[in-house]
Amino acid sequence: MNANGWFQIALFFGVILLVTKPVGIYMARVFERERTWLDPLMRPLERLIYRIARIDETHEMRWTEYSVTMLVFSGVTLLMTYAIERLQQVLPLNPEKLAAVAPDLAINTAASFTTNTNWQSYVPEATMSYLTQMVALAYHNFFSAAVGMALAVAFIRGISRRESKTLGNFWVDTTRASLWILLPGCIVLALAFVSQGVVQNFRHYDHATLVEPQKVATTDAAGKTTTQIVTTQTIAQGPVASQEAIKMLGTNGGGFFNANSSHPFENPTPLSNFLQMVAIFIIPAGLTATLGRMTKAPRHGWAVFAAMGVLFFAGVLTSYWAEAKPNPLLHGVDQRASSAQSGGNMEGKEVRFGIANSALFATITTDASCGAVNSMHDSYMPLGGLVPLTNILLGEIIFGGVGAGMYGMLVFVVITVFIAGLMVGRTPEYLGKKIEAYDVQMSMLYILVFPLIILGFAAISLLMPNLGLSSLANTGPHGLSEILYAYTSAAGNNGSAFAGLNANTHWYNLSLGLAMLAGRFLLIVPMLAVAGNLATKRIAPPSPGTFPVHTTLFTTLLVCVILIVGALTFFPALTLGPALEHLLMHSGRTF
Amino acid sequence: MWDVVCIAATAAFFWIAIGYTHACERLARRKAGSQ
Repeated sequence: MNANGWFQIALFFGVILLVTKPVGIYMARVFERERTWLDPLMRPLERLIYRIARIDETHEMRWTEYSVTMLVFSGVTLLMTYAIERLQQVLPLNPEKLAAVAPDLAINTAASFTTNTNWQSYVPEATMSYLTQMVALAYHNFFSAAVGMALAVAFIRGISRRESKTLGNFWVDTTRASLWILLPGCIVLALAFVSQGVVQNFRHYDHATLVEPQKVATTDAAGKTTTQIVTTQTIAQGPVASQEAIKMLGTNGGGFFNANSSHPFENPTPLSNFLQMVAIFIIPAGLTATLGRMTKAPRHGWAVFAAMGVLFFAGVLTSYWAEAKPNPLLHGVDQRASSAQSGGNMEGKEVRFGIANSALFATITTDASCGAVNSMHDSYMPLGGLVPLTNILLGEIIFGGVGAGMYGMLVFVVITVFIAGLMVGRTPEYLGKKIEAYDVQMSMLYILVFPLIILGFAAISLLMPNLGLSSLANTGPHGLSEILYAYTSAAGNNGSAFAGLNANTHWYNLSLGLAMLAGRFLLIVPMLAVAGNLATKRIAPPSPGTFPVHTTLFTTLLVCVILIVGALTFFPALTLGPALEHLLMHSGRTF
Repeated sequence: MWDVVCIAATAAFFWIAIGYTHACERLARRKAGSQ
């Protein structure tokens, strides 16, 4: 840990702090249909889309209609993606003549991108054609993010509207999120990435002759090892910058290349790395200001931001501390940071990013539901790896995914207000709205479904060796962490992998695909139910018994509720995974 | 064959999710009726 690392972490958060209010107010104006500087350009386009799709933009939807529309839209686009993957060998923009994607992998990938997860059980540059990447996958990068934002705004309307049966119009919210926020943001970001050296082309892959031929040994399923001499290297190309922009801004995370943001064509410089990290947090952070503006309680928005900020710093400081420390098992090796080396645990990390930017990126990408990586989480020290896992297990509400983080956090706010009401013996109220049994039941359903998916699938994988353990590279607590991380990442719609687990098997493709769908849609429904119920209520004026939701006390209570819920639910699994691995490492055992 | 299974399973999931939506709404109506 050094001053340079601290400065970069502080600079990152300072930039996020600066952009939160302007971005949040802009988004509030977009969703409230107030005038913005992009209207002359986007409004005609928006009207054209509605005319072609026969959408009545004045139609308001009840929460059930909003939910069913979103579900049908997601289901249909999922199947379209599946079809493109299965037919890519006969479709254009496939210069490498890549074959059709296998059915189980295709459905896993379609579910993954529809749910904003972007879990990838495959090597993208060797599996997906340019058309599949651009039309099927990048399309979902935009619309899964836009759907997330629409849902967050629907929840905020549920809080801010009084005695209303409706939450807005799903089509309008999704269209405006795409046209006014994601599209312009991505154009600017893609150009910035190109300026840093991120590639953007449709060329055939390059083939280079190696200066020094490499001897490579491969072992097949029967255990037979063959050795071959490799003399050439294939250098993949493609329209990377444009996909990279929405990958980060939409907190999607699916890389154009297998190495994701550690690949020099995806993330070549420290500046591109910084821009990628800011792009992940900019919309989720801005949504706290959107919350404040739309509910006419800006200080509440900042209180939510503060709770997210506290949890963010707890994660990044733990991760940086764990990774900057020398590995206790490497006796007699100089692991101190100096002008010649980064020091600490550099396994699985890029030298050009070092410890601080790797720990920061890992924290950000798992606070949000992004899942992009610039270092390999599997190579982190046990406590360093605990941070990304815990961030996702808490529900990715630390700024969180685009929209998903905000509505997830608001469910925790409802629970917090309910608990505060119980503590003082009064009917809990949230910004003047009474929190009643139905709101708490639906909020608890949201919170309980998530661990049920993760722990249920992880338990099945562990108990059925032929299904879950046959493709696992590590044993002991590290192996448990790898399986737990896979289902956590899937259900949390994060998409990052802990590695060490070959997830391209029938069992993992299908079970992880189901975990992604359940983790997204079975949580959205009760969340919208709470929003719809809140919208129907009248707003009571504040009384001496009202629990203020803009104070330090509220922020503290909110953080405690999040930690207690997360700790109680997942503490046993985390104890048997990263915590046990940490203790065993200090006694000399590794896995 | 696999294609049919994948498409049918996806359709079934979303059909269940729509049913889940209506079940949540019915619970809300029942709660409102009992208050």
